[in-house]
Amino acid sequence: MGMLADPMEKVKSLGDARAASGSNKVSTRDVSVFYGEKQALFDVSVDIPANQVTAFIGPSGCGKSTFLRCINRMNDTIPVARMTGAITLDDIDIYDPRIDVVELRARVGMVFQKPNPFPKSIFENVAYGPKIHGMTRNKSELEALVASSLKRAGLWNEVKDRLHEPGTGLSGGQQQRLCIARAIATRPEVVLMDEPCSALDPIATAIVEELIDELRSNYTIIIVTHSMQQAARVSQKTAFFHLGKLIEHGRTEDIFSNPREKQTEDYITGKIG
Amino acid sequence: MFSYLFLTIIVMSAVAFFVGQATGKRFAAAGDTPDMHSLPSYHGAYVAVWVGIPSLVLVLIWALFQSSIIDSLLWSSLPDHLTSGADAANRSLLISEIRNVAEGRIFSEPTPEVLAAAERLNGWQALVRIAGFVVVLAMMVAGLFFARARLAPRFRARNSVERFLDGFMVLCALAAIITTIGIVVSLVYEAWAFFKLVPPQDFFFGTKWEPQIAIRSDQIAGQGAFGALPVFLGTLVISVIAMLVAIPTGIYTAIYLNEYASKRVRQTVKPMLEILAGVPTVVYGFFAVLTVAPAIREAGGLLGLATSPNSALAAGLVMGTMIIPFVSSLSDDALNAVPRSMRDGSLAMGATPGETMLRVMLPAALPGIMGGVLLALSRAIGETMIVVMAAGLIASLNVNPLDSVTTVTVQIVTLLTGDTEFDSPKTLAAFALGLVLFLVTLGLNVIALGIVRRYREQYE
Repeated sequence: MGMLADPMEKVKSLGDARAASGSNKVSTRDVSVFYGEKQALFDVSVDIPANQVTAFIGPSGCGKSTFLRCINRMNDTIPVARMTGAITLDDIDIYDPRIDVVELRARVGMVFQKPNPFPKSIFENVAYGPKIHGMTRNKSELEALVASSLKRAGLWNEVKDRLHEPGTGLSGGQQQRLCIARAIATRPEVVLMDEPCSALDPIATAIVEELIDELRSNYTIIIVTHSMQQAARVSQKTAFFHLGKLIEHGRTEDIFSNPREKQTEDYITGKIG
Repeated sequence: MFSYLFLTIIVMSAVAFFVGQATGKRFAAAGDTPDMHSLPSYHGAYVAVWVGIPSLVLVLIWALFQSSIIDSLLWSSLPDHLTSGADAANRSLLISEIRNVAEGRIFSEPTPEVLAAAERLNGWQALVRIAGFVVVLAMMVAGLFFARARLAPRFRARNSVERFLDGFMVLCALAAIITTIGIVVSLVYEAWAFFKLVPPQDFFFGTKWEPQIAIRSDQIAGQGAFGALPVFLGTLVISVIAMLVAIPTGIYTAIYLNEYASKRVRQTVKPMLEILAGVPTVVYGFFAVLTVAPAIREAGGLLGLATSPNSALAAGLVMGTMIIPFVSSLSDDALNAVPRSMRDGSLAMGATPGETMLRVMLPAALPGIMGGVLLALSRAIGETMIVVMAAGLIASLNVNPLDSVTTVTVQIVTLLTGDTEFDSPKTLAAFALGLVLFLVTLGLNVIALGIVRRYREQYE
């Protein structure tokens, strides 16, 4: 039960979890979500393999973002949202009342649709998570962690000389990579990305997509996207949602070249959506 | 006389409206409608404006100058032996006697000259009444014909009426600005007169404040000292106490409402805070005098502390309570203005709501909160009723909150109540104090609004 132990303990146990590569990192069973009376998600059961990129695709309002936000329990912050079903992370039920949500979110990081750096310096943005979780013992460790996170996010060379300038002063694409650096600074095992490129131009999008591909070796990545090309480019697994239901999921090549369901085919060929 | 004139103007404007409208309707009926530029009612409004507004302006100007013109005519018609050597006070005394006689209010036997003047006055006033009526009526008829003559199917009555409304709104906006300028000018003027009597360095740096000097030679009073330092210090002490109460309470209230309160609690507490903001300050005043001050005195007595009945603490505490809603409401707005994505971003990093508030929300909202605090501070400094009732009158140079202090506003009130004379430093000192108060609160407001505005630009 690494999740109930202290953060440093958790970091050490990471290796064990990764050793079981090939197994499923996140599994969901019959997940339904209600906003008040309205049901937004219907009985979604899906297995998400470790160290791969899984893409959720589907038209607007199909529930893919809602489903994503169940995995780090961000829907808890919406008072009217209610969830049924089960979600496990490394075979631990994350909706178990004994689970500490705060610690879960440190293990399951998130990158939002719109870059949302805090109105602080670049350094402070990345150092935010490590500081609140007490992940480093002293300043030099913290600096090293910030530097390595920025390097992984491919932002280091652009910002190393101005770490103490405000993060909000960066360009949109840089801001989004800063948010990715911020998310991976807490050493999460899973990174959720909610349409991370929808506010970016094509060049910035290409850089972020390349980054996602590199991050795959260390993290399990789940990405929600509107762009089917993006799903095809970055993901190994794809799940197609429509009107709150999981229509089909499987290997990305299969979904795009040889969909089993008529609805999937219609969406991919542009007939619906 | 003027009430009849106003009534006439209203009736004539209404008539003019219907004339214009009828004309407009005739245009509409005659040709095909798309050719007509404006709706008939705009034609009506256009004519009504031309009939009503010039005559209204004329009447107002007339009313403004009528009595002073008649007065000077009357004065010059009086025989020399009455007018020669008379000063302004004698002049107004004599003219009001003539006016009284003319209206039949006779208190003592009037002299023949006064009687004659009163008759002349009555004659003139009758003349003015008729003349005024005729002139205004002529003006309205001229306006009616002028405007009616300009009406045509393609006439842009709609735009003309719009232009008139434009001008009207500019006038309304100017009214507030001109009033402010007038107040500032009168403050500066009287304060200037004060500083001619009392040197500014004595006023700003003097430590003795005893302004109750004699304004008539038969009064017994102090020599007078106008060192305002104790008064400023008293204001500062009470404001600091008030802010010490209001800032933490207000900000914590805002944080609670914003982050922790359920929707139901929020919907109940927010209106209640707004009620607190709506309580008249005089009510806070007797709350301070009758409840808080005695409680503090008793508590001080129990602890063996010398406590004045009008302690600065009582006034400050109650004033602080009064401005809590300002701080909490503006802080709540500032917190609400922080984008939700900031909060979500922090929560998704695994921060608790408390950490999110402390490390992300508060720093982001700080400029807005600062703006709210400064606005509340300027409100506290200018607040009058609570301190008039609860703070002391004696200006003493100390910062002990249990002692009695006085404030700028209290001193202004005491200086301007009772006998006043506008060439005595006692009365003029009130204007100097008022000017300082005005400049301080103006400065605080400018800074506060500047901070709030700069902060708004950050996210929008």
